[in-house]
Amino acid sequence: MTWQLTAEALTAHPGSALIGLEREMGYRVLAGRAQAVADLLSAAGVKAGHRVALLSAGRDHDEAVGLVGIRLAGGVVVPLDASHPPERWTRITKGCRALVTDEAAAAKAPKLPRVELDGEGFVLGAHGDVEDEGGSEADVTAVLHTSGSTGTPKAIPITTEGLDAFTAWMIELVGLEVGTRVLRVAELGFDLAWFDHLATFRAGGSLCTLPRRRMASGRSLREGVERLRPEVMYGVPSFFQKLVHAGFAFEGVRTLCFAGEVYPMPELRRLAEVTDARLFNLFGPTETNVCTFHEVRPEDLERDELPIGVACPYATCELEGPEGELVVTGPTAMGGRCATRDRVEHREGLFWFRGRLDRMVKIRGYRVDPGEVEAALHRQAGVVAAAVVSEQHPRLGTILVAHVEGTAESRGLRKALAASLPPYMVPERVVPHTTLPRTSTGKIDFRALD
Amino acid sequence: MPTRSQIQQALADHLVDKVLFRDEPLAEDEDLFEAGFDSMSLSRLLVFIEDRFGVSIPDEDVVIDDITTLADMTTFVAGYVE
Repeated sequence: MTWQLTAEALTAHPGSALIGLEREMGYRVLAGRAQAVADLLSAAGVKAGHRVALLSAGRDHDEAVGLVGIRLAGGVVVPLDASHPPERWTRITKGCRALVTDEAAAAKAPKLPRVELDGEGFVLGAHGDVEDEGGSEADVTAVLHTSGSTGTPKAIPITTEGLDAFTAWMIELVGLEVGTRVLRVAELGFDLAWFDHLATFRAGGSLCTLPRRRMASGRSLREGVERLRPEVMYGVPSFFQKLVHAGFAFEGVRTLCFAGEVYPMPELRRLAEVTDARLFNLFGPTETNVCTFHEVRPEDLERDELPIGVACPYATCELEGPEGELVVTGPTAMGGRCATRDRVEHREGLFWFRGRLDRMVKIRGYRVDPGEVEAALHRQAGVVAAAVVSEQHPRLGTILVAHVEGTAESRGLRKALAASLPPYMVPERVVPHTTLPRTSTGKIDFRALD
Repeated sequence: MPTRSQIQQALADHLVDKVLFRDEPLAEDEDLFEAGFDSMSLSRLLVFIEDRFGVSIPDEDVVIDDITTLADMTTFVAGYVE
């Protein structure tokens, strides 16, 4: 039977569900506070399969309480990123029936029937009733939104069956047990964070949480992680690089999983020097969740490229077409089968990532379709044509540069983009052009811009 | 060498225009984090500080708990510039 988050499953676990720098919360208390949220959502008219937005600016214990509460009411969690502009929240919450939010975000949050929580997950208030229109999504736990080529965020349903297969496998892979301390790393809009919450709560582990502001700089991150003493962490490579650079000793850490972007080999060697933890390279777009994995072996560190490994037991990975596009079949794949647009090679019994078949790039682990940034530019007055390309920056890593034809002023454009796009999608530079270079067929010549 | 008020003005202008993207000026004692400052903002600001003042500041030297306002940030940068 498919595993589900239930109040019974949670209360069956002994020990702490959440461990913060200031306080802990046991499983029984988590289940109780989440049930209070669920009851209010149900009373407001939320039914099984209804989308409910979740917004936590402080990222305190309210986030987990809200997440579990929405699930206990049968709702589908739609996470909103607190660092994104309200205009984007409004677009994402179009299909949402209600909202669970913390106090800090409440004033700016979209106008929906809501339950407001304090940092410990206590209900501060609830108001509004669901206006019942539209359908419901059965067997979906969450809907995540990533960058879309058409100019609107792309909604990706994460099925309960897919999460069941994924968390069962991950629990086995990293050896999650009752009391295992797992660091809460990525934002919930990122599929990585669903391991943090659901695999931990399934296994009865303890989710170690840091306030968002502590994640911003190396030293406060290091000090926070030292105090929380996690044994397992799953994050993007830049997160672990930040910890290594800040001098974190990785004491007591036994498993590190990374995904989202390619780990630069010199940095990976540096990580392997400072920790004895098992290192796993996990691979897969949000549409398939993790579909291949590879445990880093000493001999891998001698080479100049890390494989993405072999297929996860729940996923069938095939390469199709002359380019070798990775096609994934299985319970975690969107619609049961997903052509990933990733170019992959199979050699020495392992899969190797070769690049994208489209223009998608990764900025700090977040995927960005330059087409979405171009679409946002095209909505601005004075922009005749726009082309967004990526560059390498010594400090910032991969950055976006916008080339714009028209009369719009560069300075105002970044600001206008920031009102509708997440911070990492705002180009670092806007370069004005009288006319953009074009090919003989009249299309923008991206090669001439590189 | 730039004065403290020059540093503060340069930081404020950059934060308002290029990092926080807002219309109203930034108060000296306003909580940067509540104003939307995050890790991306920090990286962007450090790149600006290095270009503008010719100093090198590694990310890991910044302790967010010590630098919560524009005034704190100014003190921090002034320590490098001198």
